[in-house]
Amino acid sequence: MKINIILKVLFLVLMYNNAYSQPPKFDYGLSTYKKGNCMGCHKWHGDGGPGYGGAALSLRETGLDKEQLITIIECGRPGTNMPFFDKKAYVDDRCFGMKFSDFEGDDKNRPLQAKSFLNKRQIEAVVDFIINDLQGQKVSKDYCLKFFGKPTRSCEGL
Amino acid sequence: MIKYIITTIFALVFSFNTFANTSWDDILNAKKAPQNWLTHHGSLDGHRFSGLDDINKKNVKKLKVAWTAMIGGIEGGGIWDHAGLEGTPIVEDGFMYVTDGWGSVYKFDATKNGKLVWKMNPDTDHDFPGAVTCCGINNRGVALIDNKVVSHTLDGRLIVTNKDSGEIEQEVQLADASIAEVITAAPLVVKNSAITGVAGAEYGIRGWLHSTNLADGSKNWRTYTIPAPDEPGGDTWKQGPEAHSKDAWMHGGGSTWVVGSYDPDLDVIYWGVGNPGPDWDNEYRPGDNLYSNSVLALDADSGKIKWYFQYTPNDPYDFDGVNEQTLVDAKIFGKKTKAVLHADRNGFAYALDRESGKFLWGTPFVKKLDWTAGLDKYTGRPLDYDPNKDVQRYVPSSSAFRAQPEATSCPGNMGGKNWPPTAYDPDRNMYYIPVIESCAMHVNVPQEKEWVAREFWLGGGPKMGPQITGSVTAMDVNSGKVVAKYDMDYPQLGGLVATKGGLVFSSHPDGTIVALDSDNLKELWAFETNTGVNAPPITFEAGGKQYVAILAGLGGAWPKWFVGSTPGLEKVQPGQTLYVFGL
Ligand code: HEC
Repeated sequence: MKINIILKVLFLVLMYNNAYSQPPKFDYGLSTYKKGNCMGCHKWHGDGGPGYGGAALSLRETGLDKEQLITIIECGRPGTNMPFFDKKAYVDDRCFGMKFSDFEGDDKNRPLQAKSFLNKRQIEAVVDFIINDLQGQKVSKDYCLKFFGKPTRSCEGL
Repeated sequence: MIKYIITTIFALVFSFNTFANTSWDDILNAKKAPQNWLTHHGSLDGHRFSGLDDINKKNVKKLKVAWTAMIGGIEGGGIWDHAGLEGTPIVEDGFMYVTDGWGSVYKFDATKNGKLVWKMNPDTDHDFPGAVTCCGINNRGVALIDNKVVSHTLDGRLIVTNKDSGEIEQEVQLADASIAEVITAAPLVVKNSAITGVAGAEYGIRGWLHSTNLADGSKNWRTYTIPAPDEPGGDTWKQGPEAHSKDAWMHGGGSTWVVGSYDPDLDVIYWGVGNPGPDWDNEYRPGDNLYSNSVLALDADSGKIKWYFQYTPNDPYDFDGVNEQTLVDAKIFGKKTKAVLHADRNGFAYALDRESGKFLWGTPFVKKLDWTAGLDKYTGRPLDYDPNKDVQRYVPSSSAFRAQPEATSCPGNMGGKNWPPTAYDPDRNMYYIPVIESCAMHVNVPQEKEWVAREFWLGGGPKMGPQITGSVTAMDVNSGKVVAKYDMDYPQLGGLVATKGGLVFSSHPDGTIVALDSDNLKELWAFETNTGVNAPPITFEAGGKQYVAILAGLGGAWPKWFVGSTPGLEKVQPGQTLYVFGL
């Protein structure tokens, strides 16, 4: 009987240890951040900066709240390189009451379509990821390991 | 009996041949053995022209898939969620060598419908270089010499593999990813050396060409493309408004990420040099910024620069001058000339005398070019270049600068033409150019921040402008005039091959492979791969039959950053397939 308990405890300890050494938990928001190519412009670290995608703002320093984050991801920011991720954006008037036809002939302010659209669940997940892992925080080794999913030289020196 | 002996001898010679080493003579005479595609551009002069004509205008309609091979290496790394295929297959005696984006080399037996002979996986680090490569996980192919297959990896190595066994014999670390140097170009083998070019101007590297002795991996020479202050040209990097810009040359860019050409008679290597950095802030780096956006003619044995010609001095547009150099002995203005042709990102095609570097002609190959009024007839300099100024504006409405942070130029930053290679048909004296018909907006962000390793060194960036289309454009080399265009809905992102059969093979980035008539660029044949095509086609013979081969696999910079200007291309899915077509 006693042995049984000891075994059970041992088993639990082993389980716990095992769970501890597992790769970081799957984060739907992070996976969306990658899938949506947010990292292509805002970089893996989320701090943005100039790039082929244009001068993307830092998501660590952003002052936007949840609602505003959802809006900019759904609708993009016409006139900048921030694309829209909602399939229906500018098709109907859900974004700022504007449609594609309102931008005709205006190449400078034309809304840009993202490489892949995101659905409501994905947009909410990536917004949670911004709020929980990026906003107001400095790049850390933990974040780096979480992003790459395994140790890499990119995380050395952090 | 005699017949039997002859057959045996023939068989012996033939079988011996299939295991023959690739001699330097074989490479020099590549054109005389059109059954092979022995070097990156088919021959060291960069023509991408095949003497095969079994597939021709009359029968190309019947071209169909002979075999395919799925290759690996599609996985992403760093900021890239997948790798792509930009490689040119190399074919010798019926065996084909191709690379995937991570630098694995595959040897296929083309006489046995593409049976895999071996695969060499160099275990390339994915995340560290993948986080800093500007334009995709790419590898453009191998070079052969002796019993060696010479290749590169994104993480900066030169790899020598045994051609028969697929075992790695030698590795040399050449580029340093900790300062964002990566390698995507194929190597150029000259005699017993491999010449390596580097990528990373967008991260403020100081570009170079490196010659490795293949006997022992030692360095023959390394020539920097950006001179130090005390070297010739060093005075073309002056101090800008920021104190740290006194060291601009140390981060001046000038990468060399497209393989060069070689003239054995002159013993000269011709290699294009990329854009200066920071790309969009030319006020940071007053002066012409040599040898950015130039062609260098280098002595093959010493790496000494014999002459240079600069296409876009003090560039504010990211008009990277790295594109391939095509060496032609051709009639130009009616006179037989040893020339070097080049189609630049800036929208002009150039012909220079390749012995002296003297400018012969320069003509726009794009439909719209507005950043300068033209080129000076004698010097080839842009007409809006002002020799009295250190900071160039060209046509001021086309360039972004600190007092005018946004401007639109045609062509845009991607070109004109990017790395996908041209083809030259010597019979027709015709130069075929894969074109990006584009305009794009430039945004200047003053480079106030000092250089930091592995951070973008751009001084701004492009911004999507009007929709971008493309074409294949034919130019008469004698006159430098455009004679035909094959219009495309999307930019040409894969490159070309021309053949004696009167055909130019080309591709659309949404997956269609086409054969065009060399005389008028009319489409004669098409095949849908339904994945991205951003690799050049080649043609070869195996078992006495002509084939056309091309890699199909979405990659490069376009899918990540420029799809906003090519609506519809965002739907294209990644894939990794080698297609081989035959009659
Ligand atoms: C093609 C490049 C590009 C991609 C892809 C991209 N962004 Fe952006 N993003 C930008 C740019 C450029 C800006 C700055 C716009 C401006 O100047 O106002 C921006 C701004 C933002 C902002 C506003 C920040 C602020 O404080 O105003 C948020 C939030 C944001 N992006 C989130 C995302 C997310 C999440 C994704 C992926 C789902 C994404 N972006 C993908 C380029 C991009």
